[in-house]
Amino acid sequence: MRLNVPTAPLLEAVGLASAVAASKSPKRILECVALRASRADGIRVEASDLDVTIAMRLDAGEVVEDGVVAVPATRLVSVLREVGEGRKDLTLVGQGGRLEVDTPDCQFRIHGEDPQELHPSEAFPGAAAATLPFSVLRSMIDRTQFATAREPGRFALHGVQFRFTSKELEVVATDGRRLAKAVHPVASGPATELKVIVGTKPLALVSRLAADPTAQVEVAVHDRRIYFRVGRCLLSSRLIDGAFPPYEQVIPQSSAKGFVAKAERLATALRRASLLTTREMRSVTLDFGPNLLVLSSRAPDVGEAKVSLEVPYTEAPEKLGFNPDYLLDALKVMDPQADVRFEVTSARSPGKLTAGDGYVYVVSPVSVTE
Amino acid sequence: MGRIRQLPPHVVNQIAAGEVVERPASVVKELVENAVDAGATRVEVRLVEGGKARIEVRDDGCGMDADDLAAAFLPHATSKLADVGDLEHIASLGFRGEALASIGSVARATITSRPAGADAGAVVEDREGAVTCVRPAAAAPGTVIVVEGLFAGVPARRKFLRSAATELGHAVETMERFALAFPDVVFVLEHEGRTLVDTAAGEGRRARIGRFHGDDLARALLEARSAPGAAVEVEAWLSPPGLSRADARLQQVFVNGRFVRDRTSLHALREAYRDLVPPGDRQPIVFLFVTCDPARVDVNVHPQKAEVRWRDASAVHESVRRTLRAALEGARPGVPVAPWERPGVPRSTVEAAEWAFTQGAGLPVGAPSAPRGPAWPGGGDHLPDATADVAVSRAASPAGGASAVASAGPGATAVSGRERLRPVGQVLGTYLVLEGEDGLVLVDQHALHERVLFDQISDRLRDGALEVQHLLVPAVVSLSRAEVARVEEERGTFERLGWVVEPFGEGAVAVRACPAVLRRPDPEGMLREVLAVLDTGRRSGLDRAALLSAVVDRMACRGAVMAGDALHPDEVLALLAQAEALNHAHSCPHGRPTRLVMSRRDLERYFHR
Ligand SMILES: Nc1ncnc2c1ncn2[C@@H]1O[C@H](COP(=O)(O)OP(=O)(O)OP(=O)(O)O)[C@@H](O)[C@H]1O
Ligand SMILES: [Mg+2]
Repeated sequence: MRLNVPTAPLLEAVGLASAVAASKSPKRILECVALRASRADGIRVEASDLDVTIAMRLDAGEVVEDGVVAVPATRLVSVLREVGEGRKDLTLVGQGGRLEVDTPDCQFRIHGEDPQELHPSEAFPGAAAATLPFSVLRSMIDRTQFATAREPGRFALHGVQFRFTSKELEVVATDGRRLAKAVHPVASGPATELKVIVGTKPLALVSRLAADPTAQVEVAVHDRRIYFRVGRCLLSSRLIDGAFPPYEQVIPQSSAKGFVAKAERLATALRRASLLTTREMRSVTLDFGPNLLVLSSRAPDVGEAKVSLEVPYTEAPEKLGFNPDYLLDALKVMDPQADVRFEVTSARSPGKLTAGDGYVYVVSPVSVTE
Repeated sequence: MGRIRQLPPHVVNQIAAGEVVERPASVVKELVENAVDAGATRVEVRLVEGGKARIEVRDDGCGMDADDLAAAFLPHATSKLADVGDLEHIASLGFRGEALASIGSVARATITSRPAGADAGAVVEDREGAVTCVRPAAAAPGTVIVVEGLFAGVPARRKFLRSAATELGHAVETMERFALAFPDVVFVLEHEGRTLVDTAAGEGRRARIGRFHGDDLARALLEARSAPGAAVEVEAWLSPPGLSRADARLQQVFVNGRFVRDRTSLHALREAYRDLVPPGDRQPIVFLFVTCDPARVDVNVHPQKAEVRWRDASAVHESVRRTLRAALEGARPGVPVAPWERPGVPRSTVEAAEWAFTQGAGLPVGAPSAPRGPAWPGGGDHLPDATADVAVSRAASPAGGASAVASAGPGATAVSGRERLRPVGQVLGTYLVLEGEDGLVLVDQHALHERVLFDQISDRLRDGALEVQHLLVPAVVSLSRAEVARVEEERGTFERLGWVVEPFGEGAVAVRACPAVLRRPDPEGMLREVLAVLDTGRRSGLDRAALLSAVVDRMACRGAVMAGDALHPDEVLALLAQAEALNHAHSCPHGRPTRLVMSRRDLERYFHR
């Protein structure tokens, strides 16, 4: 294998591949990034830790001689970083499990693994279950992924559910105390509903995929794996087994007891009201009164806080407590200038935040023992 | 004919026996006392039917020859006192010469004994007051006493005996007390072939406390000793502040090896714990051993010798209080922190430079995305300051009191008062590393957080207000029918503790809400754990307050950051600040220490400086 390539695009691809490759594995090949060069097909950068697999085709560089090498991803990253991103004339020569990286003044020879052991290259499986702008998918992931469960057990909830229907893609995450749901219409979804659960690690990588926000991303499911294809990149991941609890009935019907406010204002008020709580004893009481929301908290050893926020509210008064972090988590991923609607029904039922673009966030309240 | 007659001797003895022998456990106590007085190194007790049917006590002590045996059952016959002057300084457990006579008058008692060095043994029997002749008998060196049919001939007393299990319980307690009082003697108690108490020679008091009351408890106890040579010597094994019981059963006082109810010592120990046990009826755990010249204490004040009278009570009081208090104060004080600040340097940049905490778990040091920072943050230029601080504070160091304190952990050095701690980092994802004024401080993040949580939850429970996080979707937990029934029964308790649990069909319950403090709410695991705690608590007869405390304990453990959790610097600061608010953050609720101090002196010694 011999190729000439500028450093920048190669480093970007290898950097992403190194995030996929295992950081420590008894199977050394899983720590490697593979370079596949062919005069017909160009240069491909691949990595896999078996759970997640990534493949990227470079749109720059020239293949002089076909071939494949596999070298430890972190080694290649540090070499490429050191030789300088501005370099246009990097020469890479692969030979017998080695990779030589040459510049006029430096020669590196990186010892790698037998490319025979590499995970076979993957292809996007047939028709997409959803096609949508990449920037939209990224925001759907951002606005849900934080609500996944972290605690042991209930492993299904450690992931994010993708539900494909003929008309829309729905992305949901919940840890049993709050739930985030984002929906976007799609043109040609599957005829029968399809639900799968995806881990947060591959989703974080998906968010890093495309530089071009107008690009379209195609999503497909095949053989217990989910595939994301955007531009020259293809990322796939094993699915998480299990199913979400029936969450639809948890989302409250729309209630008149609510108000609309700028996300930023509501977030500021919550932050102020929670300043004097402790991590262990964290709750803020929301007191809905005529055109006024009073947020208050009290922690015995720390102090008390009371914050008033003028809001258009004319319904009967209502009072209930929430973990402020749960509300702030959602407000943080919303556009600060967005008008959000916050609704409640009763002291024992969940509150609901909506942003008018198909995003729904539901939080269960905190009460106090008598 | 006059109505007044002198009672026949055996009736006199039976009445007297009532003073000494009340139940099988009191027979065991008298016989084991005799064995200890005889210098035994091994005492074996075997019981049948809780001792109601048969009590056998076997020792390897000095034994008795035929003459002694002939006198043993006689009232007021003793080898331990010669004249009234001896009463002033009784060094043995027995002294009245009444025990065997009393026992023999209310049961069939047989003594087989062979003095050390003699070729053969002899046997004598007392059948409810009728003493046989002494006959030769085969015997191992030492003494075997068998007591059968206790109170068989005294129905009035027999009917006061309780069930075999209850009587056995008393006997076990008696044996445990002897085992603590005499750590060099091996004590064994068997009941109908089952060994209930077994001890090893030379294992020490902490080990024995562990055998009887659990290793966790034993490990947690502090050890306190008065200076050697004090007129009233005190040795104690005591709970660190924060570890307490709902009852005072584990406050045991021994005076010269004798288990007694001594008001003076009990009062002194409560004084020592003043403001250190949580309010409410919490009781510290103290095993207290007071040793002094027998002349200083009168043991002849109570028929069962269960009380003593001090010649100088206030000296004893003071010695006990001072020794215990010193140990309690020397126990690692929490982590009182005045967060480290350097004048002129904005706090946030100092922190940024000071902390080398891993931001995400599992990042290898030096990996491309690891947070950058000096390898030894703040090392070079801060050390001189620290050295200066130390020089000042060392002058005020160890308080040379009358008591020496030893605690379980290595490197035990008392760090007094509030100290300024400079966070250095976190190691093994588990321990916070801090620079104290006089050395290095390691804090177990889980144990400290657990302590903080335990106190906070308990406080909240007392105020009756614990935050409850409702669940969007109830967690359904399948349980056995018995467990479901138990949940139903305990619904009120669960609710008070922040759990909303409802029946959910056959063999399942739905958890609708759980305490908000749980960091990783795992309703299923937690619910099972709470059930288990309630169950064992019930079985061992814990009262309501103790049960609640046991559950809170589990909740705190579950809610606390785990060993292995990477902590954000802000979280560490918050945790240390919360600990500062506690008076006694030096042990987790199980009494495990939360911190280890390696003083400058320890370090210098280690590096031969
Ligand atoms: N196990 C034993 N080994 C050797 N001698 C014993 C043993 N048990 C009893 N004796 C002898 O028998 C005597 C009488 O015992 P007894 O228990 O009746 O009286 P005591 O121990 O002297 O006083 P007290 O009534 O206070 O116990 C003792 O003084 C002791 O000499
Ligand atoms: Mg005696």
